[in-house]
Amino acid sequence: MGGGLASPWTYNRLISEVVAGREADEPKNLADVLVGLTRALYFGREVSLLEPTFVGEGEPDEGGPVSRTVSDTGSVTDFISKAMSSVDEGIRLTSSGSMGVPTTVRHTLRTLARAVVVAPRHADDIFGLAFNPTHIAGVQVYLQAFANGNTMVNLWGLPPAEVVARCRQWNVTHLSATPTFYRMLAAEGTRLPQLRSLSMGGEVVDEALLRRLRDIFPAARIHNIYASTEAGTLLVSAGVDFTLPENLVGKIRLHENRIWVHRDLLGRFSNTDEWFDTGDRVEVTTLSPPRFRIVGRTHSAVNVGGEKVNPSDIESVLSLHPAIAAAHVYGVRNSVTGELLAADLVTQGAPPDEMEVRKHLALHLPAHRIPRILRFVDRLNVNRSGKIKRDV
Amino acid sequence: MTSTDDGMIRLLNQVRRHKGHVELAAVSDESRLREDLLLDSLDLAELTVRIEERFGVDVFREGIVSQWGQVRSRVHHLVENKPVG
Repeated sequence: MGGGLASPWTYNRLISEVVAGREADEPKNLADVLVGLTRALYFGREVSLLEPTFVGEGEPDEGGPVSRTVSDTGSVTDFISKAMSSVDEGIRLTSSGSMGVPTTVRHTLRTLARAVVVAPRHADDIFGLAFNPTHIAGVQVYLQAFANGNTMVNLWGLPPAEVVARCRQWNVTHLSATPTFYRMLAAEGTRLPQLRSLSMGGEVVDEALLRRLRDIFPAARIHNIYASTEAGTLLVSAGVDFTLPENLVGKIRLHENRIWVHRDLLGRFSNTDEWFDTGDRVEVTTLSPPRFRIVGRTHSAVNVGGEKVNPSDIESVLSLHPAIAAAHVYGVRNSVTGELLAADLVTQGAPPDEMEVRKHLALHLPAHRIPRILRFVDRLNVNRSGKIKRDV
Repeated sequence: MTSTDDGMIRLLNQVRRHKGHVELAAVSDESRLREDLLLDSLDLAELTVRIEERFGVDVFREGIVSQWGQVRSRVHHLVENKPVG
């Protein structure tokens, strides 16, 4: 087969990859999420709305997508039986946690499917999924596509040229990805006239990116989505600024320049307070009508191209290296991935070769969790209680 | 070639070396950042942080470009028009 293009995701193949535990570090959670979702959707109240179609596994040049119903596909039967046997304990997602400590959040279909729209106008949507499918944003795309019986094309983790090729090949109409993904795609400069909708989330969106996207994709509507692992999708905007829709007044509030979410909107986790502090910082741009933009986070998680990283996890990995006595990991702002990890290192014994430290990191961590800027220092930036000082 | 260009190639080589790619003595303006120089989004993020540290300018502020010559001319333009002080 020329070009080496793989088939798009079929739902059944997606599930089988998931069940096989494609991501070694979170196979159970990954399976729970998608099997649970599919089960909830397939057997839940919305069942009458669903006539999912699947794209065949045939060669891309053999006439394109082949539509089949769920019941025609043997492997789908398998996945449904798997889904039926799964315990109904909600759908578990892992949050980076507002205090930098990972938190498990249990969701129901009600909290996860809040933003899903099932309508005839969505019948022909073809989704390019460029989010991590186990994270809240990827799950939202999955739900929207599944509920409307749309084809999903896997674009996650692919280089921009491959993304462009797959979008063309499968006539993708809806793209859903992080701002970092769109910055890389915009650099390709390729016009994709079939794109009708670009949605983005997981990171702060800036005006320069929106200008560029409007220029390259003039026919596409842009949706800037604010979602959190704790609450699912909350706000949607066509630009950088958000307003509070009427149905969320009294459920979301701005307090101390941060977004707080009422517990009615949240999945289940250790939070017991009436209002949950998301840690996402806002700047109010106009008072009447109230408009605000998200400018960053207050807590210590670093957002590298939409992937939240807890610096202390990385410090633990660094401290495993025999030549490193202490490490301070932090985010550095940049115009490509929003933030990038950097590390200040205090060494002990013979000074290590920088490449050797990098090899150690590459052995233990995926690429986005590896500090790219390493600085060897005499001492760390610590506060009076002896803790490493984090920028707020 | 100016000292700015020299400095930029050094930064580029630093990013490439960390990825296990060979260092380059010279880079043509037509070299494509991804296909020819093998830089992914994290590499470009590292490059822009290093350029900002060295030259005090945010090269991709208005968007990422595709060729080395575009990076070079942006850095020259931004350095020349940098506000004093």
